[in-house]
Amino acid sequence: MTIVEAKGLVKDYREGRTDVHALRGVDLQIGEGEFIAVAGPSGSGKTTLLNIVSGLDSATAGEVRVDGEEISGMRCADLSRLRLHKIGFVFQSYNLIPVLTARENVEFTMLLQGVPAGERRRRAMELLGRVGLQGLENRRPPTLSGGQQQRVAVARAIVTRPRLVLADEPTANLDSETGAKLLDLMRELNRAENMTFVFSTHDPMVMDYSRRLIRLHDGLVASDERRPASA
Amino acid sequence: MMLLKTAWRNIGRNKRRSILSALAIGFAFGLLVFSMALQRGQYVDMIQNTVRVQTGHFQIQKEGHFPERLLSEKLDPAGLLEVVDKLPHVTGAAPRVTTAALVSKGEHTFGAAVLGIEPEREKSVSTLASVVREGAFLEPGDRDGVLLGQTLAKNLGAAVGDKIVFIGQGADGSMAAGKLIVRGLFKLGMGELDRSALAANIATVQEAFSMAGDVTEIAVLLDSERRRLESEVRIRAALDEIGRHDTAVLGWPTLMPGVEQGIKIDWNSGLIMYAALVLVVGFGIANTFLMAYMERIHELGVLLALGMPPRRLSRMVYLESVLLVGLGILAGLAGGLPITWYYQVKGIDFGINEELTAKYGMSSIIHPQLEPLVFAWAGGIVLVISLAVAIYPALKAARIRPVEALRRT
Ligand SMILES: Nc1ncnc2c1ncn2[C@@H]1O[C@H](COP(=O)(O)OP(=O)(O)OP(=O)(O)O)[C@@H](O)[C@H]1O
Ligand SMILES: [Mg+2]
Repeated sequence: MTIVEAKGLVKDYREGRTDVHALRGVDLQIGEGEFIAVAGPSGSGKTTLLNIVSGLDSATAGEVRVDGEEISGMRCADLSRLRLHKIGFVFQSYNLIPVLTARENVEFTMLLQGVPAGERRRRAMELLGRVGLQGLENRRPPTLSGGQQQRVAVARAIVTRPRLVLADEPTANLDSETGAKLLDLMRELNRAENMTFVFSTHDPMVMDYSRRLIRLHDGLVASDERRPASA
Repeated sequence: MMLLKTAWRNIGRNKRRSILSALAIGFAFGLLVFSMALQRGQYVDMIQNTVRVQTGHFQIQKEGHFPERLLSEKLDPAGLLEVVDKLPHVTGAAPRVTTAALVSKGEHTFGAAVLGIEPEREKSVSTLASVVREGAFLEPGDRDGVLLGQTLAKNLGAAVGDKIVFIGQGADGSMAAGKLIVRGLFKLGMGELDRSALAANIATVQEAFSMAGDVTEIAVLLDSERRRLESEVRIRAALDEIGRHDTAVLGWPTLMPGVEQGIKIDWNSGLIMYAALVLVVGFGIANTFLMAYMERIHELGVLLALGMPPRRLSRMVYLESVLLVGLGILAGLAGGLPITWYYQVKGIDFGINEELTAKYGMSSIIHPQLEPLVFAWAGGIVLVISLAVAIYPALKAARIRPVEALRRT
């Protein structure tokens, strides 16, 4: 079953007088349960692609369907509903809410979904433990290191068990051991709950973990290869 | 609950700014409470003046006497005072005959407001006895004595001991005339009255004006204006009970519509001024709200990106302003209440000269009045304006485009 389908995606940004062509016609099909790495040099359009798929940004041309719904013309409120219930997003720059503690940040999307407080707390605590942040639950983001914040951001994205997780360079600030633990966790969720993961990355380890590697170059798909399950 | 927590912590983020805007709101609110209370105090003073100098809190008249006040529509006072005296909150009741006449002494003739009083009873209602400046107040059995307003006496060229004559029209249309001896001069402090009023024993006036023992009114004084409406109802019932359906009970606002209207106009124009003042403060607050919003546009973008519905985001931003306004009002209460209360007890002396107070019938010392009305209006104006200016950033928040907001840092 296809969860994301993109056809002829074009994204132009106007930067002053010149047009930047961030995406120049990307076709992509992502099946449910895939574990994908999107690689490519800086500026190749990885973040742009993830933003458009998640409905954060709109494409200049082309179509995107998420879970069967065409999102190009959707209203803001519908887009946020889609993101809330179907998509988990890890930002390249974490984007945690500074006034909330680590635990409250993880609870936030569950709060929006209306999960009862006790359950919210339990799930947040459990997941923070699994990403190696036990004991730091009550710290606020500005007092955490970049890597710790990144793990909070990952926990926040996956705690609601969304169908699709889009993660923009989720291991960029982690040492290889912590990065590997995080990837293991996501792989487990991928296997056990059939959650779909799409990462953008420069990290060879993430590419190794992935089952499919899409390389972007200059806003176009340069290669798209499936890889055998490792181990 | 978490929304409230988030909003609360956001307020705590820029403490100085939050405190300053809460204080601005608080100051506006406190100032409003104080000035409104002061205004109410002035009204209490004006009403007290009207009531004590002229009408009493209400009057019993013959049905149909008001507003023409024809002498022919006269009231038989038999049994009425006994009923009135027994009612709660009544501190005094005085039968009167009020009419008009010409008074003259020698060459000089002036129009005068004639007041027939029962001296002892009048003391329990009006201030007349206490404002006699020369000579003495009327003795109960003194059929020939008259008190003149100071200015009237001056105009007539009359002094204590002089004789004056009056001429008017009796209740039956006949001519009313007589000769009276000036016993005293009074100064009520109301220019109009001091220029035209004269007071004589009620029996004298009744006889001269063919009233046959009847009166034009019974003026009733209560312990408080606040008891007036209930007392009017009570007296009406008591009068009906003794079968006096020929009577009318008229409160001072009916009898002196000018005073009530003056209060209304003053109050309403005050409200407009206050609203304008708060609006100015409101623009300042709006600026703060907007700054707090702009600073966090990135973060608000994150919330939207996480799937927060735009409307909910709007509500959260609004909630912050509401909390701030709430804090401000609490601060205003904390500051304004004790100050106003202090002056309510102690009174503020405005040191207005006697000339002016006489002209407008007010006193120089005002006691602010913290009435519920004051809180309702002050709170209402501050709330409406500050909550209205808070709408703008909240609406803007709902329109944020996540990617654009996320790019701003
Ligand atoms: N909002 C924007 N306005 C103008 N240009 C933009 C905007 N967002 C991205 N771009 C440009 O679009 C191109 C693709 O950017 P994008 O962020 O998708 O790259 P990326 O592959 O994520 O790079 P990196 O690996 O550095 O994160 C770049 O040339 C970038 O400068
Ligand atoms: Mg990027």
